[in-house]
Amino acid sequence: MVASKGLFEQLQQLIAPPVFADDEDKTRLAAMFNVVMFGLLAASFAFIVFSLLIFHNLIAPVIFIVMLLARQIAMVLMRRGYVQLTGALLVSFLWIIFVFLTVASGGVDSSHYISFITVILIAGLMLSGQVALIFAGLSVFAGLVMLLAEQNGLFPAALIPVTPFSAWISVSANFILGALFLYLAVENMRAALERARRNEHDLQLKVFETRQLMQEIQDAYEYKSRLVARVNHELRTPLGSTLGMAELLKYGVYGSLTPEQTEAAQKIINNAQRLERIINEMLEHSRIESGQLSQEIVSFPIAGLIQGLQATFDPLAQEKGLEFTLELDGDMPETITGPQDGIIQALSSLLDNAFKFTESGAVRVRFFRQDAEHWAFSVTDSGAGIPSAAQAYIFEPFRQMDESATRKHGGIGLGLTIVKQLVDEMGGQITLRSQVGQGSTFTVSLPFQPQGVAP
Amino acid sequence: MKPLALIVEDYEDQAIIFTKALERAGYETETILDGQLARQRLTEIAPDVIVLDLHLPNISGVELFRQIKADARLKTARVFLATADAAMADRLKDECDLVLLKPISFSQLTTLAARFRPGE
Repeated sequence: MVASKGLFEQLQQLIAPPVFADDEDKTRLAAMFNVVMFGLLAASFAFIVFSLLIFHNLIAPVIFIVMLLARQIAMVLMRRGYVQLTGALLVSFLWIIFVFLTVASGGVDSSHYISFITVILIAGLMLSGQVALIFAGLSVFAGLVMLLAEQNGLFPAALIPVTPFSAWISVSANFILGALFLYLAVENMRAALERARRNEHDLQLKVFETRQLMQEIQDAYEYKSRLVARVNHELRTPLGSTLGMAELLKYGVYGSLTPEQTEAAQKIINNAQRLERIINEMLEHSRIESGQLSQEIVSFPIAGLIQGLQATFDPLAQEKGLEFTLELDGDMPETITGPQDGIIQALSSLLDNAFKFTESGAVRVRFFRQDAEHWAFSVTDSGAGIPSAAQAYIFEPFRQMDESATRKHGGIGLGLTIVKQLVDEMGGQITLRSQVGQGSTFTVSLPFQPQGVAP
Repeated sequence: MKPLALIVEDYEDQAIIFTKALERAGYETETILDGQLARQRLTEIAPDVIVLDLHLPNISGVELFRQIKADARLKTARVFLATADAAMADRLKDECDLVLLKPISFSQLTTLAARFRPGE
């Protein structure tokens, strides 16, 4: 059983054309050559039968054996990937056989002379039109040589006698081979065309699906923005009352409280404020993402900006016992043109962070000229610093360095993401220089001449 | 005589907080929970400060705000707009005297309102 199965497989392997996974065209050609070679084998086998019946010599079996050998050589060549070369060799080999057959059967008068059309057909359909033209020329030339030889009495006596029967066989074999070959070639092309059509259809379907998907993403995005806006409003309203009512209690609007009651009211206030910060962060992110933030370009005095920051952050610095300085380099212009709100927000967020993560030492802001076209501000703290591994992702959303930071400092880890988005939108750049144990410096550089503003 | 503050806010708890803050800041207060009623009332009184919530049922807060700004009789009135919508606050902040972004701290509002008292 096993042996016979092995034999069958071996036989199958012997006759199957090679398949090239990466080249559909090559596979197709190899399959066609294989069929042609089988056709030739069948024809030469038939020739044996008929030659044994009509003329009694060994030419036909010899041709058959040569064909068999040629086929095996061709298979080996094709398996190695030389499909085009095999085709050229096959066509040349066929041509030589037909020259031999024509000469052996009496020259251009012989019905074998018509066989050249089959070779030319195969050459044209499998290799190229040019090759077909070359073979046509060669065939005409070979015929001319035979004609001249015949006229000059140089032609050998016919080895294969031509009878009406043999002529019928020869011409019919050519008809069948030619038709078979045309059929194969046309079917192959039709299949290729069909495949191309199907691929195009699939592609169009994919394009359509992609468009639909994009629309869905956009819808989801818009839905998210609306949801955030809505949730924001719905959260702020009760939060406002919570905060306000606790303050009413704390400030004695409803009568004076005991120290514990005051403390409890203060705790409500603290927690409400913490919740408020989270909502602000979330909303800010959403607003920037949906491009709702005002980016109005105005000219404003940098001294005013410094005063504002001082007023906002001095109390915080005092509370934490940190030194807080704001420096303005001498070569900076007095007024800056840019999206004032965005600048203030980016600065405030960076300062919020700096104060949040610095327990002792100083927080410094510096405004300076970076190059001819850019000015910059830097926020430096003497906090814990950011490890270099974390520096790579610190601007990504939800990336506070660890969970305990979230618990301790509040927020949902969007602070730096918001700053980065803001700076990007302002056409600026943000960089971070930090060393663990030494502190961090965030530098934001912005163009003196913002885009869309005439100089 | 104490200056008059009109508080227009449909959310009662919030209205109480606004009212208490303005009382503490030294104002006589009047609180209206409905935008239409507030519009009517504004034809009768000329408050020194109007705290106006922008999200009112039955009437657009922004529309009411524009009417107040257009009313020559209410020219001296200081308008504080209250909203939870930061984008809206951004848009209107140059047109009014003060934008109160909710949630609003009672103590902050008290301080701010005191600063806007006539004669301060």
